[in-house]
Amino acid sequence: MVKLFKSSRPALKKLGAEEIAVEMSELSVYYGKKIVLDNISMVIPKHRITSLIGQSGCGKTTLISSMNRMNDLNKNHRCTGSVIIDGQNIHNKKVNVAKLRTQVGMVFQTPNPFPMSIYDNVAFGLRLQKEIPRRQLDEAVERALKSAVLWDEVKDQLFASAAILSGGQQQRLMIARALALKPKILLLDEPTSALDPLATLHIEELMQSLKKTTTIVMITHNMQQAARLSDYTAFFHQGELVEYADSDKLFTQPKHKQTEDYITGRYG
Amino acid sequence: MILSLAWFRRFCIVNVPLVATGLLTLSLLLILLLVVAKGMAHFSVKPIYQVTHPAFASTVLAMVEQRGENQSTLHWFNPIDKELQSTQIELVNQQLERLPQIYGLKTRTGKILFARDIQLGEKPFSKAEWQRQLDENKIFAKQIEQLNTKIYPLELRFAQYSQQSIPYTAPVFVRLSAELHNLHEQKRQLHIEQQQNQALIQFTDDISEVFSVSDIALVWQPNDMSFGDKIWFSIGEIWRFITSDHNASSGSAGIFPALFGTILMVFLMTVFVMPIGVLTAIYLHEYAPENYLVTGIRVIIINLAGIPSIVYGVFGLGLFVMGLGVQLDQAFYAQNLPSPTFGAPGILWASITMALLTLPTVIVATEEGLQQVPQALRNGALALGATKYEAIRFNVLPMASPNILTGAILSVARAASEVAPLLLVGAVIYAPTLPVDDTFPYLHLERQFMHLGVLIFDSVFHSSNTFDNQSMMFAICLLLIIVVLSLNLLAAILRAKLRQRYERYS
Ligand SMILES: Nc1ncnc2c1ncn2[C@@H]1O[C@H](COP(=O)(O)OP(=O)(O)O)[C@@H](O)[C@H]1O
Ligand SMILES: [Mg+2]
Repeated sequence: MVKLFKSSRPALKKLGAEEIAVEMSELSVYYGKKIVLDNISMVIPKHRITSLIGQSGCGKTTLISSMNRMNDLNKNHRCTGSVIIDGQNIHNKKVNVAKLRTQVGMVFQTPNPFPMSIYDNVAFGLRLQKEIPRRQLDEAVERALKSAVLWDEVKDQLFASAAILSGGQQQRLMIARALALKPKILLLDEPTSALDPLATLHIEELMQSLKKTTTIVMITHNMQQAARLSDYTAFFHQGELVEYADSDKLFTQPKHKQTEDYITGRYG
Repeated sequence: MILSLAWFRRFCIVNVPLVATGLLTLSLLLILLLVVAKGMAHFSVKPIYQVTHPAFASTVLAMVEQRGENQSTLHWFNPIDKELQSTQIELVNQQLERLPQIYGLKTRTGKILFARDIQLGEKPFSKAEWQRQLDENKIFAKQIEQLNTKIYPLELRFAQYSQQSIPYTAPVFVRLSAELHNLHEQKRQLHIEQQQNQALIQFTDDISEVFSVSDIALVWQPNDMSFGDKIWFSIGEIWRFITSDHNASSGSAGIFPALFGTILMVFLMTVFVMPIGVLTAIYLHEYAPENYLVTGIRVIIINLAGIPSIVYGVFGLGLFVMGLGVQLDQAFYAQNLPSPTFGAPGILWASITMALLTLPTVIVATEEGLQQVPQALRNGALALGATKYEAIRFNVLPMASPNILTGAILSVARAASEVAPLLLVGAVIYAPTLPVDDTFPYLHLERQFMHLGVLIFDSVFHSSNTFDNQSMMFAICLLLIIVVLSLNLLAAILRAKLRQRYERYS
């Protein structure tokens, strides 16, 4: 208990406006007639790692997708409520979606490298933005690969096809690809679900170091990882936000029976 | 009994399709073999016989084509008209004689002559001497050319002087005319020397004619050639076949204009069909809403591929030539009327018609390619801030490129081998000019053109009087097959390369 109050993390309710990266209020998402997210209101603290946990199909992916509007791609998708980033409701029709997505990067559950070289994969987003001199581009690619802890492994084969990388390397390449754009928020969908322990460790270290500059939202099914790594954790059940708190608190003293059952592995 | 019946049934089910497929493959191979054999025969060295036959008053020189028992077609040289003529007669071997001395000749105009003897000036014919005289003539021609460049400015000055009404007796004028006279005299001398390199060609014992060596394009002695000579001669024949002009009346049997016309038409067709086809497929697959209208359009497009090609020809004639072309003429080429410019069949309308014909192929192939690109890849690009257009341009299209290429090749193969619609919209049996030449605007889209398929069609039905008409048809077939097959091969290689590059991602 004592330790909790000494923690450097402020309680979610006490966050100041400048400490909030994303603010969702009364967000509901429907696919056709089916309601996938039901009236979610939550804030994502700035420069922290926030974990989203819950059973498969409870709407975690849908929730992070609504932070960079990847949901839009689905034809029968509909949503109400608001998601505010930098004081702007990003679900507004006038928002430039392409620009939004450069600031809110997303890494998908399964790595999807482009059929290009490793270098081109990382440079892809940058090249879309503007003409960049080769030297600067080289530097940016190197920086992104270094911050994704991949540089040492690929520096000799930058122009080899990205398909030759292992699953863990590909996942880090996806992170590097997103980081190259220097996003303010990084959304990670089960980034370590398919990785071996060593690669998982790499990615966890990576997130710790990214935290200084980037707000990270991560989906995970690994309770230890969520407890160990994240500052805040949100538990979802069938489209509803059941409990959202400081990770230490959520994992040591869950308020809800459902949460307790889930984190102790009693169901799901 | 029942068991054996079941066995028989199974046996049939397995073996009948097998046998049928085998037979089909075999017959296709046989047809291919026939085309190759007959086509290559066109370039072979055929002997020239001296024929003694009661149908002819004296002996004649002829090539013989066997047509079954004793019956032969004789392509004999008529020394009076200096022309090859064909006759069906009964021949027995004793009436044929292979004299080693006999010559075959081709003139620059493409005429074929058979001769008993050739004299080059004083000397008897020999390859070396003929070559020497040819080279000499070339040097003369060069010298004449040089003289011309000297004469031309002097002539100009001459004209200036007379315009400035300088009297003819003025010293400058006198000197100039003397110099000009001198140069002209030199030139005349060269012409005479050039003419002196003559060949006396003996057709029969008493009929002969004198040709300038420069007028003779080719001399060969078919009855006196070694195997190597024959091969070399055949290679030369193939080269001349592909590169020389086609002119049925003079007997020149090259197919260059048809090859050129086919390639140009196919190229233009590709230029029209690929952007439109690919863009349509992109629209249908990536942008169009999913409703009955779009589904209907897709069904129509797929079924367009099944419409008989002649219908496209009629359509092209009606819409493009009679409709659009006539309108264009009235709007832009009124000064040429009533003679039409675009209001008549031409290579532009032909290639557009073929583009229309092959559009469904391209659209269907492209859509198939777009379908194969995983959604995750598009999402990946979009998540990095790409617009939908950028995702398609940089990620989806490259991955669909093997299929787009397949579409392109299928349409090229189709357009190269289609004849019927082309006859209606611009392909002709003989076109005096190529659609590309050195007069502005260089590419003459309104001109009619020659086409390999049309040439085959023509040599089957309206055989002209060239003696090797039939084998020429097979030679053209062979060429057409080679063109289409090599295009296919090229595409297959390219496609395999691209596939290899992309398969690990999908
Ligand atoms: N494209 C879609 N169309 C219709 N339903 C979908 C679609 N994507 C997801 N869903 C539904 O939305 C619910 C939440 O999905 P998702 O957000 O992927 O869950 P999670 O990531 O927590 O496993 C699931 O019940 C799923 O069936
Ligand atoms: Mg998910």
